[in-house]
Amino acid sequence: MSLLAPTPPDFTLSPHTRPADAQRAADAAGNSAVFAGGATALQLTWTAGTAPAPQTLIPVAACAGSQGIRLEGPWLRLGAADSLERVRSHALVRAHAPLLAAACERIGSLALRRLGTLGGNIGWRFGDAVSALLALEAQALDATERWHALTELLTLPRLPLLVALRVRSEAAADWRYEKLGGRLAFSPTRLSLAMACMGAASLDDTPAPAEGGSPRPDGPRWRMAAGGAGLPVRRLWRVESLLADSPGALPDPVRLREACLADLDGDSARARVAARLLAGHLAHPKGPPPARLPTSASARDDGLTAGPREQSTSAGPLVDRLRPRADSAERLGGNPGYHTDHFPAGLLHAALVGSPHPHARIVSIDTREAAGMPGVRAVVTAADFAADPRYGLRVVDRPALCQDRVRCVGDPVAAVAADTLAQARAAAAAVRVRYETLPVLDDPEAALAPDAVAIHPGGNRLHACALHRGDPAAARAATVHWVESVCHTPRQMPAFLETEGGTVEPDGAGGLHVRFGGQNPERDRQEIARLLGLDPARVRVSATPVGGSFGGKDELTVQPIAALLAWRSGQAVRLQLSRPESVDLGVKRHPMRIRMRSGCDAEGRLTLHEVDVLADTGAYATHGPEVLDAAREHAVGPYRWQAVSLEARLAYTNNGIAGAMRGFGAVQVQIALEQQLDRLAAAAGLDPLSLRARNLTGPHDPGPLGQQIAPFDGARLALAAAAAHPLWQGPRQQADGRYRRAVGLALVHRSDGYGRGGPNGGRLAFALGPDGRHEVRVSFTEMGQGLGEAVRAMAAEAFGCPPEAVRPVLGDSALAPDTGAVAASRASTMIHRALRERAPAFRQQVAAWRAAGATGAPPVQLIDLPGEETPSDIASAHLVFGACAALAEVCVDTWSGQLRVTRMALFPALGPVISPAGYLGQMEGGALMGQGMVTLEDLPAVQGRYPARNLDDYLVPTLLDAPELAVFPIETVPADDRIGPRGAGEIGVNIGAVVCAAAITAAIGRAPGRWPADPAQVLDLLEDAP
Amino acid sequence: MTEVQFMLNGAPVSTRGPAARRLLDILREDHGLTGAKPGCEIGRCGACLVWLDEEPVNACLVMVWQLAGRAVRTIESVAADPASAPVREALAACGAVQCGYCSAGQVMSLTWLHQQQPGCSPAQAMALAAGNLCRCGTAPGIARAITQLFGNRPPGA
Repeated sequence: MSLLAPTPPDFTLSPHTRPADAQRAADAAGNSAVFAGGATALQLTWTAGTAPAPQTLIPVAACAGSQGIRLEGPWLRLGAADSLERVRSHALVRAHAPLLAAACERIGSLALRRLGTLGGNIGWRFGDAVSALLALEAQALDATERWHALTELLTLPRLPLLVALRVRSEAAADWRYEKLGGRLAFSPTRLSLAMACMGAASLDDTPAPAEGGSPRPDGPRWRMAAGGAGLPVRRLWRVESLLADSPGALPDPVRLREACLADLDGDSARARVAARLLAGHLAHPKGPPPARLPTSASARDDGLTAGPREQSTSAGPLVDRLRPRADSAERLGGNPGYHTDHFPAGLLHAALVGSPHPHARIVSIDTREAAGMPGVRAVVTAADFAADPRYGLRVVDRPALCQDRVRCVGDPVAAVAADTLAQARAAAAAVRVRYETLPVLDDPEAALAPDAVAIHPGGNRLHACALHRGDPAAARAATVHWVESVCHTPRQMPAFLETEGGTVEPDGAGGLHVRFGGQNPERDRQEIARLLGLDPARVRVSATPVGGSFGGKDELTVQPIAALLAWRSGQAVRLQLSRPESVDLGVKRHPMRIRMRSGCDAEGRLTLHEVDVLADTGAYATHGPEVLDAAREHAVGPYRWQAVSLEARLAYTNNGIAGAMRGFGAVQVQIALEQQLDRLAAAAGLDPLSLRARNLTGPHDPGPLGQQIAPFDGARLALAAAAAHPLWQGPRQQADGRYRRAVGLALVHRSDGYGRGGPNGGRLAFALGPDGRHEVRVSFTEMGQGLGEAVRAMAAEAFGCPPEAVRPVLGDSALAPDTGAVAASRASTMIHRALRERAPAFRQQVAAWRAAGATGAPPVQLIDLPGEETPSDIASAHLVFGACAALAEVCVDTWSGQLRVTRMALFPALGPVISPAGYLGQMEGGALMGQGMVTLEDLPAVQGRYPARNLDDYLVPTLLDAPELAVFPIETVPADDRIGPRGAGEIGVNIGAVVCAAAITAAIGRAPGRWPADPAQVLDLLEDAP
Repeated sequence: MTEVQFMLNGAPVSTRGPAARRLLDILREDHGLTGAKPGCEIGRCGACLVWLDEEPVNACLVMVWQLAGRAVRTIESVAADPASAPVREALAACGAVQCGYCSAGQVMSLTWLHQQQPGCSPAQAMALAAGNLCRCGTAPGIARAITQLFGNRPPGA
């Protein structure tokens, strides 16, 4: 099995004007030829390796009559080669076959529909257009100029050439179209369901198959068709027959479901949804409810962004203060200098040899054949590193190239650099690796069993931590209400659009210049130098800008491999992971199983909180231990518990690699915790807000681990702002026939920076540039968060100059000292502190230099900023916490189980807003990522493999999935506050996930035990609900 | 090997390669036009959006054999065209730029809508622009930009 996309195939084109000639050419070539429309789906078969590339391609568009939409007698005729977008938007289609237009609208994206054709959609048999065409009793024209019922043609194992389609020009009296995907737009088709109520006599005299009964040919009746991925679209003959048997009456639900089940080949999951949707639509003969859930555009102007009320602790929506980021123009131009866009002359291209096995011993690696192949300049294995190839943060366990063992699919074993990418990939495929497979551990509990095979020499328990506070016996005794739950959180993927990649070039002076987007250039430099046996001074790492990271590029990704290839070959080498490689090898959010048993007394005062966490760290440690520590520290929230008893374990498995991801260990337990609080509120007969307010810790109380923390009243202020918002003041539950809406409330706090004992310090520099601008030099990188903007704003104030007179110098080991990683929501806070403490001295230095005639070198001040930590002697405990409350409104489609987050209001209490654009972007973007985590995103592993390896199966929210969203910052800090701005980089994820989960649970009436809340689970809960 | 001639940002070019070689690679590797980005390489993210005969397509899905005689425009040409200024300004002003990796595709998509679909309502524009993913989550910003760009136009069409 190759993990790489193969070289582009070279096939012969066989265009024919006469359809008969095209059909003859296809018949003569047999299986080696295919008809092609836009070939959008066709080429995915060979890139995914599911089918070989054809030798002959017969473009349908070349055939006469294959394009054009027009009326022909009683028919509306459409060309098979007409693009789906043309069909969707064509006035004749919208007038005469609105069902078909509606179905086409739900296919792919605008750009995909521009390439994809109607015929192509039919050819794949799963397409959304097919169900509409079948319900409209479409006919298809073949190369012999004969029209056939499309239903008939679809029973053939190999479709003939389709030249054109036609449907009756008399529009259906009524029609419905439903698509169930994961998202509101641009989704793979889980279920496509089309219903058309056609007038009197059918022009299609095709009888229904015998086993399906015989629908009556006279009188208006519904024609229906359904299908989806893996379930070819078909007419719902039995359902139609059932309806025809009792015209005008609603079908018996049990018989309807049985008919759906029979029509859909026993696919019970889809039959259930189809039956619910059909029942719903048939019960609403007039005025169909909207086929799609309300869009956010319709939710505008509804008071969400209403100005502050008198009592609000926020000064108003942040969007009112928005100004364009200074770097917008270059980014919108497409070329702000991503390292994956760097193609220097003489560049070699690299390909990895990744493990096809989740767990195996490497018996041997033979690179001889690969090394001799055309264009190959270097083939490397672990033996080529000058030092132990393993690296790691707290635990050194991850080999840059595997030596004796592979622990996850994609684990790199060797790599090739060649003149072209095709040559590199061909040579990578020729590297012979012999494996001896080992048992696959795909479950953390099983991995921790005493007899489990050890993935690493120290065993499979990577880390464990506990928290025991207070007197559990007394707390138990005081408890009146107990609530208990088990919550499973997903393996969320960063899914940055720029996959891991960059170039490494020899610098001509015995060193290397590494250009790879990342979060910690200085650490990359140290590790690469060590692995290659170089003096770190000879390695330069440029790591900014980054096309998204979200934690996923915090540690080294594949830089060491590219560096080794460049070092060996003496040439510039470019390596960028394909999306499937990135999915396999990149770090994800830790899936956790969280059990909680929590209590409160009769007045709703929190008593005992018992927590058990089991997390799956996958094949290597990376940030795993810190993630688990974060889970421990955030499992109690900003609340006073009488006693806490927590145990947490982290297991190695062969399920890929989990590591740092925005929200970092906290978000998982916060989802579980806030759901518990809502349950306790219900048990105690309290409003969710009152229960929280009653149990908040005070501004001078100790932190979650009992540590001393920076005094802050953010949680209380945030909660107060949420309480005053119209969304909370208005109706919180509404049922509207098909849809149920509910408003949920949540509160989180989260830590900034690393905990006690972590690398909290950092170095940075202030300098006066040759052009007189003030420079702030940090190794932090720009990943989209708007760091440059924040630096400009903070430095302008500190240096007393306009923002344009500040130049942020970011993310390059040759240009800035080691500030540490841009991670843990620490960057802005740290720079702010450096400016507060050291800018006055630098201003004096500059003034003195200017007073002395501005001669000699302009002033530079190197600052070594010690880390600020809690004085309490508790390992990994944090000093600073920001807080955020939020409200979300969720709409549940009770027919399909599909969810829609319609509105969200965030109330972050993070101190002063430094850069409105950066702050707003972080809060909005974070909230959307959090929403994705509980509504949509999961990367399940099956026997250590991810079935979803690209963005067609792993779905992230689109523009249409985003709610109407407002952010109301609360900037108040205590009078003696020394921290200033708290980190805004992550808390949006934390609150977004938690508040959406709260609203989902409120809308369903029951809590999903597994996140995300997929439609099937939602339907289970709805059907179980009292 | 297939050899085709096509127009690239207004200039005639010719390319030779396997029939299935992708336009995305031709742009980035042969012409240094790196504004179109590889994101998913299967048409599911929109980061490589270009115009083919003035209509938006994913460059990762367009192959050499489909290019003969066509006209391709990339972000490098469109961003330099004052006609895209309203879109770029709206995206910047509305907070729709973060890491920027998707931005070129967003500009290509919205500029096409803004220029070629004059009757588009904000809701229609939202649906038509949903094929451009943004993982930084600038969707609220893009929605604001769309409201600004398409909100004051006559409805319908």
